[in-house]
Amino acid sequence: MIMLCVLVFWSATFWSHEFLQPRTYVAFPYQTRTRLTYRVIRLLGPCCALAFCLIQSPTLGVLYWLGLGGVAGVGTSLLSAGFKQKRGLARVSKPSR
Amino acid sequence: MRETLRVRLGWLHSWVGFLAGLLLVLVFASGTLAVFDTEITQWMQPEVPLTQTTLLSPTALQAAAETIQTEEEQGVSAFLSLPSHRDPILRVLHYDGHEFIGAALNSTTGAAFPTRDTAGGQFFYNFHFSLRGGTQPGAQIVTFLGLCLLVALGSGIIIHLKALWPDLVLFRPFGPRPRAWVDAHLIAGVLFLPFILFMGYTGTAIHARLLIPAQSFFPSHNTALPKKEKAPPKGHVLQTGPLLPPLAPLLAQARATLHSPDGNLVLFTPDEVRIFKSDAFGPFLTRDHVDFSRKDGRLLRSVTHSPPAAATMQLVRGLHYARYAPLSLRWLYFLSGLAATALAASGFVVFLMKRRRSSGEQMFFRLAEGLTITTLISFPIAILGFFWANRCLPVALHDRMACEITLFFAAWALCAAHALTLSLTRHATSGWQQQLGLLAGAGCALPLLDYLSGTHPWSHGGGVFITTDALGFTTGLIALWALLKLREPTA
Amino acid sequence: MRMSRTIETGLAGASSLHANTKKRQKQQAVLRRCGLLALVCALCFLTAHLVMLLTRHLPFEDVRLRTDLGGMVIAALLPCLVLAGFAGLRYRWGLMLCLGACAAAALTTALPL
Repeated sequence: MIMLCVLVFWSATFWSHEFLQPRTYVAFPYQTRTRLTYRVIRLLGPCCALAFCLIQSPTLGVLYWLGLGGVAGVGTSLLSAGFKQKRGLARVSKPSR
Repeated sequence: MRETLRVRLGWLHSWVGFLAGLLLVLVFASGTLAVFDTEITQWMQPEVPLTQTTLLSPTALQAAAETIQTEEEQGVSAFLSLPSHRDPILRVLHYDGHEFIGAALNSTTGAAFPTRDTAGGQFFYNFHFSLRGGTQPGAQIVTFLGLCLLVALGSGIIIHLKALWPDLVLFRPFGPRPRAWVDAHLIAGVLFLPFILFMGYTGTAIHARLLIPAQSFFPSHNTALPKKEKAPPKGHVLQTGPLLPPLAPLLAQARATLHSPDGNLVLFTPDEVRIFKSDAFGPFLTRDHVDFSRKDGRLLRSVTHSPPAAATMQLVRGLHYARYAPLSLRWLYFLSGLAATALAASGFVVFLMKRRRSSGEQMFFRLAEGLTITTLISFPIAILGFFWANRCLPVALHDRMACEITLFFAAWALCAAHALTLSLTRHATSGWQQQLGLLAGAGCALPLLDYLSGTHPWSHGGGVFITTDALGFTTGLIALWALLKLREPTA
Repeated sequence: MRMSRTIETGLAGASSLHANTKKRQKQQAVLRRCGLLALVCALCFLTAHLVMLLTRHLPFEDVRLRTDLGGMVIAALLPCLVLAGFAGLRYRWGLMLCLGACAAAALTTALPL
C-alpha cells in the first residue's frame, strides 16, 4: 500500500513537471492557478514519497524511493506520450473552419 | 566541424558506449537475472518442494555433516547453506570453479532430494561477473567494462546536461524513429541513473584490485612481497579434518550470538567450524561469524564488529549483491537492471541509425549490426535455450549440468553465426526478423513446455514457476511485437 | 552549352576537392582524439596503479581490505580523470590535470612516509 502511495506521489510529480514545460503548456494551455498547483505538487511529491519510504524502512527507504521513482517516471512518460498523441490526433481530426 | 566539448564527448560516448556496450549488455542482462538466482535455481530443480519450513532438525544437520565429511574425503571443500525464508532448503554446496552447486536436503529428515544436475541461477551470477572466463581474464574484462561504463555515463550526462531537467520524462514514440529511440535511451538512462551509477561503481570497486594489482610492475629491492602460503585451489581441500561435532548446539549458540535465526552459512576448515551471519540482515555484507573447534566443538572466537573502513567495503558489496533485499526491493533491482539493458540496447540502435547512411553500409557497419543482433537477440535466445534445455534434457543424463551450459553456448554461437552471415551479406533485416521470430516462439512456448513437463505441482509453492514462465512469455510477446513492427511496410 | 559544361565540371571539381579536404580534416580530428584518449588512458592507468601501490601503506592488517579500499578510490577517480583529461581542451588543462595527478601519486609512492 505504501509502495503504491509512493508510486502515485512520484507519478504526480513527473506529470506536473511535464505539464510545466513550455512545450506542453503551449500545446495544452491552462490557468495560472493550475500552474501554481503543478509547481506545489512537483515540489512536495518527492518529499512526501521519501517520507513514506523512510517510514516503511529507515535503512532501505532511499533505495525504494529511487527505484519507485524510476518506475513511476517510465510509466508517466508513456502515459503522457499516449495522452499527447490522443489529444493531438483529436485536434487534427476536428473539422477545420 | 568545431571541436566543442559536446562534439568531443559525443564522440567518446558513442564509441566507448558502443564498443564496451556490446559486452556490457550481456553483463546487464545476466546481472538482472542473477538478482533472482535462487528462484531460478528453484525453477530449474522442480524436484525440490518449496513448501518446507526454515526449521532444522538435528537429524538433518547430522545427515548434512556426513555428506560434508564424504565430500572432504573426495578432496572437495563443501559448506552448508541453511534454510531461509527465500530458500527453505538445507544445501550442501561446493565451488566447482564457476558455480556453487551441491545436494539439497530435506530440513526435517535430512534425506537428499533426487534433484537434476543443473547450474541453475548460479550460471547467470557467474556469467555476470566473469563472462564465464574465471578471475583472469573474465573478471578483469568485466571490471574494465565497468570503468568504460562509468566513462560513458559521465560523458552522457555532460552531453545531455542542458536538456536533463526539461526533458526528464519526455518520450515521443510516435515521432520520427531516431527521435523515439534517443528518447527511450535518455529515459532509461536518466530515470534509472542513480541505480546504474551505483551498480556500475560498486561492481567496478569490488573487483578493481583484479584489474590493477597492488604489486609493482617495476622490480624493487626494498619492497619484498609477503610469501604466499600454500593454499589449495578454490573449492578443494588439501587434508580432511577430524569427524565433525554435533552441529545443532553449535548452531544454537552461534545464532544467539549473531542474532541471525536462519539462512546462515557454515564453513569447515581442518581445525574449525565457522558459522556466519545470514546475508539477509541489512545492506552491510558483514560476514560476522562465530568459530568453534572442530575437534571438541568449544567456542574459539566470535567476530561481530568491523572497523569503519571494512564496514564501507561491506556496504559496497552488500548494495551490489542485494542479498539483503526483500522481495519488493529485489523486483526494483530487477526492473532497474532491465532499464540498464534497455539503455544499452537503445544506444546501439541510435548508433546504427546515425551511421547507416553515412557509412554507406560498408563492412564495418555490417559487422557492427551483426554483433548488435548477436547481443540483443541471440543472447536472450540462448538464455531461453538454457531454460528449455533444463526441461528437455533427461534427468539422469550423465554430466547433465555441462550439457545444459554447452547447449546455451551452442545456441548462442549458432545464432551469432546466423546473424553475422546475414548481416555481412546485406540481409540484416532478415536476420533481425528471423531471430525475433525464434525468440518469440521460445519465450511464448516456455509456459507450455513447463506445463507439459509435469515436473512439479502448481498448487503448492507454484509462485516461482508461474512468475518465471510469465516472464518468459512476456519476453516472447515483446519479441513478437518487435517483429510485427519490423514487418510493417513503413518500418 | 560548352561553357556551362565547363562551369559544371569546375564546380564539381571544387565540390569534390572541398569534400576531400573535409574528409581529411575529419580523419585527422579522429586520429587526434584517439591519440589523446590513448595518452590520457595510459596516464590514468599509471595513476591508478600508483594509488594501488600506496594502499600498501594503509594501517590495516588485512591485505584484501587495503586493496579493496584502493579499488574504491580507483573506481571513482579513474573515470573522472579520463573524462577531464579528454574534455579539458583550453590550454590542455585536462591533460595537465592527469599529469599532475600522476606526478602526485608517483611522488607519494616514491617518498618515504
